[in-house]
Amino acid sequence: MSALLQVADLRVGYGHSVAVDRVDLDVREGELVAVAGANGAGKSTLVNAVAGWSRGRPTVTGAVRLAGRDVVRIPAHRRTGLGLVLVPEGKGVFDGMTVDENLRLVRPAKDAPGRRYGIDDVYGVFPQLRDRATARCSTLSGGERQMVAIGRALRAAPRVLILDEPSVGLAPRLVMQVLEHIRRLVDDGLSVLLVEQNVRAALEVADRLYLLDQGRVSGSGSAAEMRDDERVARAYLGGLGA
Amino acid sequence: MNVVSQLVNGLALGAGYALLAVGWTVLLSAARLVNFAHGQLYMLGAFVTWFATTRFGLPYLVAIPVALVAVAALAVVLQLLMTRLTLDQNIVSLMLVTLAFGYLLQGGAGLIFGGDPQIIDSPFQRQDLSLGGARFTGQDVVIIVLALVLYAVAFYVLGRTNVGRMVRGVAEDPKLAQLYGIDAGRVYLVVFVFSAVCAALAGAVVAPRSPILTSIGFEEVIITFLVVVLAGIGNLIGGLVVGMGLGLFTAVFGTYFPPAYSTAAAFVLLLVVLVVRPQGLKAR
Ligand SMILES: Nc1ncnc2c1ncn2[C@@H]1O[C@H](COP(=O)(O)OP(=O)(O)OP(=O)(O)O)[C@@H](O)[C@H]1O
Ligand SMILES: [Mg+2]
Repeated sequence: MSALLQVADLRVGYGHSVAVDRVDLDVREGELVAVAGANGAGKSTLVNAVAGWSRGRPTVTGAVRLAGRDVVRIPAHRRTGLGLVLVPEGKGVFDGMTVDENLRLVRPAKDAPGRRYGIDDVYGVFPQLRDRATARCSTLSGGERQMVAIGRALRAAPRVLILDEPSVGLAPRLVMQVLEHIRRLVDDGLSVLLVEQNVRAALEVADRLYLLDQGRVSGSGSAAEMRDDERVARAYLGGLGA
Repeated sequence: MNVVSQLVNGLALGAGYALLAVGWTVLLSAARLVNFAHGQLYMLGAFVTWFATTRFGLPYLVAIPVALVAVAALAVVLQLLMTRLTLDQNIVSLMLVTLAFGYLLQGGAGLIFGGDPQIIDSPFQRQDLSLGGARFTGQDVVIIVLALVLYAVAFYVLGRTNVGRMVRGVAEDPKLAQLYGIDAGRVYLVVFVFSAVCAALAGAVVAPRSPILTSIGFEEVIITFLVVVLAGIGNLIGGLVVGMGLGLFTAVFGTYFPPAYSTAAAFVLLLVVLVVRPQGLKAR
């Protein structure tokens, strides 16, 4: 069976510099796949290109297939409609709106194939948002804002949810909390592509891991394999870490 | 004229400004688009209404929707030409492009409608009303009521409906809006057409008060700009208050000084407000 999300020979450049080079990657149904790598390795560039989105002006070549369909020429807002939903790095919610408004703003098409999350389902996943429903997002903490961002992505009926460093800026204890939330969604059947700096934490929850180095995949494998990989241990798991 | 007449006169004038400002406010806050052709859309609203009544013999109330549809269609074409620039938020180019549109529309209107002053025959303009000694026309009442209704509708739509949330989302961050599944280009189109239709409506209802020329519009656009900035960009209710206030100011000023100075006086007011309160009337 072919993967739900298939990225093949993806290259992304900004002007003359290459940020992502010949990347192959896939995410199977119900799988949590993590991407890790150093700052500037090209992780965000990669997942943004998968979603057809960027704040810059990248040139993208290669294939991005969702359930066998090549979506690489489809604009970002329509990819969202198809269930390829991105929570970007950094600002991921409308600060000027309340939590509730952010969640209501997303309405999946009637024929959207992904699993539907109603507003109440989102509050079920993140109970602490329920109390902040009428608060403007500009008044939320970083972690709460991240929950809203993930919540609104769930509202879009995702088939593949792409999360770019959802735990950035969170206290170590909260990092695991957010990642465990995501793991539960995957256990519920969702497919997730997760960018995570903290390799140790990523390996706790992911099924598989890709390592990105200067725009290229420098290693990949199941979480168990990667944990035992000597290079991974030396480069990412040695000494410090969460 | 007594004080109450002045008041109604000023309010009608101000409601006209407010009608012009509502579309501009929404457009500016949602698309950061300063539309210098706004005044020509106002002029076209007036002239198409005039054309429809005199050439096709349509009643005034039927001619207005005709004018609105015509201007809406034109607005679709204009915005489609600007979609790229709007999505890229190329603000300076957009100003020049809309300025070019303004001159083109003015020239085109001159060719089609001629260079003579015209009068729109509105039954409301012929309706003389009096209240406590004050005399005004039905047209004045129409303008004021229309402005209030339009602001109420805009306020409700922006604040309470999903379309309004989309517009606010695109206003805050058009890129992020795409990740919510929102087609920012389409939102820009809707907002631009709304703003154009408001300008045309203002033209259709304000113009019967005095003769119209195809050269009108630039003065109006400057005043609109002034109202929007004074209100604080994106402040809808502020636009209504400032528009009305400016109308009253102009009317009162006009009774004591030559009316030719009233625009200059309005700008003095703007300078004072902006020096004291750079964000306009908008609450911080
Ligand atoms: N909008 C842009 N315009 C030009 N170059 C960019 C842009 N965004 C990223 N780059 C470049 O592309 C390369 C990869 O950046 P990217 O943001 O994808 O890295 P990353 O792995 O996500 O890093 P981090 O861990 O810091 O988030 C970097 O060299 C960066 O300078
Ligand atoms: Mg990144």
